[in-house]
Amino acid sequence: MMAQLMAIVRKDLLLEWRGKANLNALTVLALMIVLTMSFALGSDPTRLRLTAPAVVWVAIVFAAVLAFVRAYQMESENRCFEGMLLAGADPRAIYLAKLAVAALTMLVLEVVVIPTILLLDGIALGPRIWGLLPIAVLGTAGLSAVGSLYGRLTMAVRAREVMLPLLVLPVVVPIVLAAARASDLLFHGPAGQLGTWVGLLVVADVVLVTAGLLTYESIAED
Amino acid sequence: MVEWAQIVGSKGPLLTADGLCKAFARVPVLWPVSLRLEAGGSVAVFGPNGSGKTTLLRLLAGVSRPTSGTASICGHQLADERRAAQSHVGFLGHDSYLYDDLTGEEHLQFFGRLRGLRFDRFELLGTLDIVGLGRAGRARVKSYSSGMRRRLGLAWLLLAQPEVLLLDEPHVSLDRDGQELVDELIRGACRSGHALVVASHDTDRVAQLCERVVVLDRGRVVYEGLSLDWRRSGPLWTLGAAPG
Repeated sequence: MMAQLMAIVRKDLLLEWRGKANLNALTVLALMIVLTMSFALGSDPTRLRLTAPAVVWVAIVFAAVLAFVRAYQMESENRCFEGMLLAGADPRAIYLAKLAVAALTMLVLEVVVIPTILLLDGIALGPRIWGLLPIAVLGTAGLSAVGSLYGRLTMAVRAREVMLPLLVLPVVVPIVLAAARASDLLFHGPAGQLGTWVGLLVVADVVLVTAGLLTYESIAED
Repeated sequence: MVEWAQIVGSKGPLLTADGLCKAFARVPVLWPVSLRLEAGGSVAVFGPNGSGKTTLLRLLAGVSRPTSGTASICGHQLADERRAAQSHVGFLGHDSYLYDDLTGEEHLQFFGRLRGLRFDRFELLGTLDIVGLGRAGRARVKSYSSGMRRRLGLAWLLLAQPEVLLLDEPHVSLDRDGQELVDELIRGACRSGHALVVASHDTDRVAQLCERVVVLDRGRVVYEGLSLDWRRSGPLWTLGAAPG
């Protein structure tokens, strides 16, 4: 299964690289959401600092949903998903590969978006920025676990651009909540509860990835 | 020169289908169909548009679940061991299963890795040459015509060497050379002990290549017999007017 997983990751990254307009568009969308919300919240620096973690995660979630749509759009053209199954791909390898590539794409996007909002809102980029790394990785993994599962479910649906957010957004609420709260506590304290929210992210990731692995095979077929 | 690996040591049939049925939204599109192919066996499936040929092939390839009935490939039941069964199947369907932004060579390597096969460059180039894509192997598939996409599908079959070949309209989109290549591929596969199911509208051509013929009409088998008998009685079985 590992060789299949690596082959699909390599293929998806190659396609992502060759059609990099996708990543550029996602990054611009996330930045536009961040800027629009910053304008809407006004010029009060205290309010901007307090709302920055929530704004970042809202921007990431909406960009992520588009990334999930795109990830399966290329599989539905020419029935490529079916082609992978016919070639002998283990559905669990497909799921984990989709999860990994979506997470990598989102992390690249976050490298641009997170420092941008921190700078815009006057939050000092001290050593705490490194504390944000595990929160970003855990939050992104959880979002990708959900998106990679529901992306397959809606792949054959005509209005998948509408259906996917409707299905994904309610499920990712605990992840967004935990990631935003953990990011907030990291920058504004008290740090005492940070472990609770990071723990919640870990539990959510484990549950969601396990659920994905257990159910993906049954939804992968026609 | 098309070369197939000889199928040796096959115990029992390579493909069996027992009462395969399919319905979409409770509307039956395929009534019970049964098939049995030993090594080297081949069957042509004829029928007008919408008769269930593609549905039958998709069920045998394991990409669609039957409403009832069972099928097995090389002893693996499709219902319980789908992946094991599919590892012995080569399916050339209406869809190309190709990514526009990958090259022909990258596709063959990718599908090979999914099946646990590694092809060296010599092997790849040789096969691409056989199917007439020697120079195009490094071009992205979005620049391919539908005939070239079909040829890449043939290259995959030659590299993967599956025991069971399911070919849906294999001559479509191909020029005369390509059609002759398909003929040679089918003959070679039969000689080497592979089992073939070929769905086609090109009845004269395909009936000469396969040993048996099955005719479907509105999802039902309306004729089953040797292709020699089919060719003798051909005019009586004009597609679309098969007696019910």
